[in-house]
Amino acid sequence: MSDERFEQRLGQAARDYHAPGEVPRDAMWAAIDAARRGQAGAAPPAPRRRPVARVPWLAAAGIAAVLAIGVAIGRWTARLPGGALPAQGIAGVPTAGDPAVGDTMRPTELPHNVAARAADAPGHRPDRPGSGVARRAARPDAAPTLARAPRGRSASAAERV
Amino acid sequence: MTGALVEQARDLRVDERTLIDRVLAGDAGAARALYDAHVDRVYRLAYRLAGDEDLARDCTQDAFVRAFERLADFRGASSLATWLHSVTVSTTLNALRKRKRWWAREAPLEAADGIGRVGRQAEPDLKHRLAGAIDALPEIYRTVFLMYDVEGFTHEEIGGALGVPVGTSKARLSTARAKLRQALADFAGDWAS
Repeated sequence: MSDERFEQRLGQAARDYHAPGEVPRDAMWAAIDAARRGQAGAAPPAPRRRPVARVPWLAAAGIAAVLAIGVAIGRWTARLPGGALPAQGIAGVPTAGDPAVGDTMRPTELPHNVAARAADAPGHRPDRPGSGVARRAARPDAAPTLARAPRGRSASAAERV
Repeated sequence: MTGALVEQARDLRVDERTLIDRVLAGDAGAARALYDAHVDRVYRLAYRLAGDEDLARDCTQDAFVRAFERLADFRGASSLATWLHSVTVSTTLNALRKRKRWWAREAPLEAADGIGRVGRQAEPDLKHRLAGAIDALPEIYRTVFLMYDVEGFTHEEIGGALGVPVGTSKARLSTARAKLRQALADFAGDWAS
């Protein structure tokens, strides 16, 4: 059978497939009209506030502002001496560097302090360059070692002081 | 007044845009005129797709309610009829998918309940075979086949209603026919005579 003939017969046969009867116009219109009246009678929806996330430029501006403030703070603190906040004394409160304070506020006897004072003592034989305590004491940013007591020659130097 | 408007709308003497503007202005007569001008084709389309009177009525009503709701958004890029058919197809296919899901859950119980009471025909005739073959078509092919071969829509109208190019509509029709031909191969001899 040719395609054309098949399609012709197929179309004819398919006309009976789900063949609609009379259109129930008025019944459907009554339902549609009632639905429309119901919608018209219903309270209008309250105007919604647009969430911030739905305004992309506003969210982007907020993020940019936070970043700019962060960068500014970072640069400002980096320009300060030592890269930290200024060590300003509180008005009226003596500090360790104050000569009036004397020995009462001498810093704790930390290993590098001890080594430094030993080096200043008369008749002191300096440590070999590169030796542990001397190297640590010479370094201004050396972290104080609180957990361990000084050992070896440096320890004996500290005892002599 | 309503009767006169219906006549005007049917004969396309009233400009579509004017009718829409009147509906939007709250003219109930214009709304009824718009409905009457399109309801026959919308209902037929819904019925062909749904195959059930109640479902076809529900889908037609839903389609018109939605269309009236969104009428202000209609910009006239296509004809009002094409736009209405698009809403109808979408509403009906959604309803069918929902029903299919429901059947998938409920059918096993009902089938078990009906064992021994409903006899099956040993060999369905052509009409039943054709109906079964059309039902078995995938949705995209079935819709185009029913719109073109059964309801007489053009490929341009189908493309507009389904939101696909004309070529796609033609290709889907061709595939649908090929599948039906394959399914009805047993009847080729009867049709040749």
